[in-house]
Amino acid sequence: MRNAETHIDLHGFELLEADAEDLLPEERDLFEQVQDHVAHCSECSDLARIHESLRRNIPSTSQVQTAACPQEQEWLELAAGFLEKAETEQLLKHAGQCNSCSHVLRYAVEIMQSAPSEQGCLALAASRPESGALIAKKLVALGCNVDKLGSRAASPSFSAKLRSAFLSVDRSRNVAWVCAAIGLLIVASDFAILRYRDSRQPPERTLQPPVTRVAPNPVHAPRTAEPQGKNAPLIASLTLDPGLTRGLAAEAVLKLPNGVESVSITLRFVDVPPRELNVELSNADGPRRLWNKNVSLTRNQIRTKEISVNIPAAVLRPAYYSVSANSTSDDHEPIANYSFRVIR
Amino acid sequence: MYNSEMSAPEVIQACLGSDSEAAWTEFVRRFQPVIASVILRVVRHYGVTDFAMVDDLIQETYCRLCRDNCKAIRQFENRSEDAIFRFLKVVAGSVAIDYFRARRTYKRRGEMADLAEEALSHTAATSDIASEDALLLEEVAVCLKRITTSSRDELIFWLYYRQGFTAKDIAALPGIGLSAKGVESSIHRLVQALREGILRKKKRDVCAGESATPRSR
Repeated sequence: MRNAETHIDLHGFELLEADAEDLLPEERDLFEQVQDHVAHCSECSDLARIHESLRRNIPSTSQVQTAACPQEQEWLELAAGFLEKAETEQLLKHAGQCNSCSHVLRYAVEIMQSAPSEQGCLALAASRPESGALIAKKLVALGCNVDKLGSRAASPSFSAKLRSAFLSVDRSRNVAWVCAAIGLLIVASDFAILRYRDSRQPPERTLQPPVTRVAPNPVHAPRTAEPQGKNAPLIASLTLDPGLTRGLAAEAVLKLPNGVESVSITLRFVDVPPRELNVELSNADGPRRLWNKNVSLTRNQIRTKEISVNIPAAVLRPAYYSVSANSTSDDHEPIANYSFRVIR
Repeated sequence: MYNSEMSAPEVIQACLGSDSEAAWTEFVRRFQPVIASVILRVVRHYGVTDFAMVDDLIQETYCRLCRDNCKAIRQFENRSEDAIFRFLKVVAGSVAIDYFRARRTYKRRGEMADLAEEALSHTAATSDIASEDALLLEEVAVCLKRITTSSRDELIFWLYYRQGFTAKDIAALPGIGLSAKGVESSIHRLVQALREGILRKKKRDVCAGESATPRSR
C-alpha cells in the first residue's frame, strides 16, 4: 500500500491513533510502514498532527436536545431514505452541529441496517410459533381490509378494539402459560419416574429419544422466503457440527442467493461450552479474519450445547470458510472449529 | 394462494384488498421478523431483555399500521420490496422509541436514560478543551469555510471529526452519495487543504511580524 512516493491516507492516520497491541496481524506491517513514513516525511507528519489534534480537540456544539431538534421519527425517515433531498441536507447539516441529534441519527442508521436475523428475533419466533397466526386471525377478525373497515375506520374506537383484541391474545397466552406449567409438572413427575426406572434398565432407555445427529453440516432452508428472484430471503441458515470437513463428502455447503442480508449459523458443541465465547469467521485460504463476535451464552444454550450467530452475508462470497469458537480468557483456548463452503 | 412465492408488495396488496386470513398470516410471517428485529434492537438499547415487552411492542406496531383503515400502509406509495421493509422498520422503530419516551415521563429523571441524555453523558468527558485548542477550532472553522467547495464536504468533515462518525457510517447516510473510500478521500483532501491554509497563515503572520518590528523601534 505504501512506498516512498505515496503519502499516508486517512486509514494510515487512523492506524497511528490505534494502540499497536490492538492491531490485527496484517495491520501491524502497515502500521510500521506508516510510522516509518511519518518519521521521514514532513508533510505527512504535519497532516498526522493536524488529524490527531482535530480528533482530540473538536467538541460538539450542542449536547442537549432542544426544541429545534428534529424528532426521532424524522431521523428514522431520513435513515430509511424517505425524505426529500433538501430536507435530508438540512437535517444532516443539523446533525453535523448537534451531538445529541448525530447520536440519534447514527442509531437510526443502525436500526435501518439491522437484519431480521438477530438471535433474539429467532428465539422469539421459535418460542411462540402460534402467535403469528393468532395475530393474523385478530387482524382479520377486526376487519383490517377495505370492505369492512370503510365504516370502522371512522369509528374512533377501532384502535381500542384492535388493542383489546391483542390483549385477548395476551390473555390466551397467559392461559397457555398456566397449561404449560401444568404440563411441566406432569413431565417432571414422569421424568422422576423414568429416572427411577432408568437406574434399573439399559442406558438407551431415556425420556426422550436420543438427540439425532443430523447429517454433518446440513443446509437449512431459508426461514423467510424462497431463495431466488425478487422473493430472495433475508436470512439463510446453516447448522455446523465441529470438525474441519473441507473437501470431504460431508462438507457443509451454504447456498447464498442474491439479496440475502444475513446468515444465521448454528454451532453445535460436543462438550458443554463456557459462558463466554469468541466466535470468529475466517477465510479458509487466508486465513484472514473476516468477522468476529463475543457471545454470552444463555443457560439454555449451555444446556443444549448449541448457539446461533448471525453473520452479515456481505462478508461471504463463494469460497471456503472456517469458523472457530474460542474461550474469551487470556489464552483464547480453542473450543471448536467448523468449516463450510459458500456457493451461489 | 398466499405463499412465499408472492412478493412483499403483492402480500400487502392482498391484505389491503381482501378479507383473507391467509393473506394476513402471510403478512405476519413475512414481516414479523423485520418488525421484531427493530423492536429488539431498541429494547436492548434501553437495557431491557424482556420478551413479553418485545411482544407488546410488536403488537403495538401492528396497531399503528392498521390504525384508521391501515392508513399508514395505504398512504405509503413507494411499495417496492426494499422500501416496504424500510417503511416497517421506521414504524417499528418509532413505536419502540415512543414507548420508552412515554415511559420516561412516568419515571423520575435519572431512572431512564433516553437517547439524548446518553449522548450528553457520552460527550461530557470530552468537552473540556483548553483555550489554545479553542483557538485551533476557530482557525479550522474559518479555514474550512474558505477551502470547501460544497456543503457536503463541510458536513462530512464535521460528522467525522466532531461527531465521531466513521467513513463507513457517513457513506451509509442517504444524500451523501459517496462510498466509504470516497468519504475517506474527501476528508483527506480537506485535511491537506487545512494544512496548506494553516501554513499560509503562519507565513503571513511571520511576514507581518517582521514588517511590524522595525516600525515599532
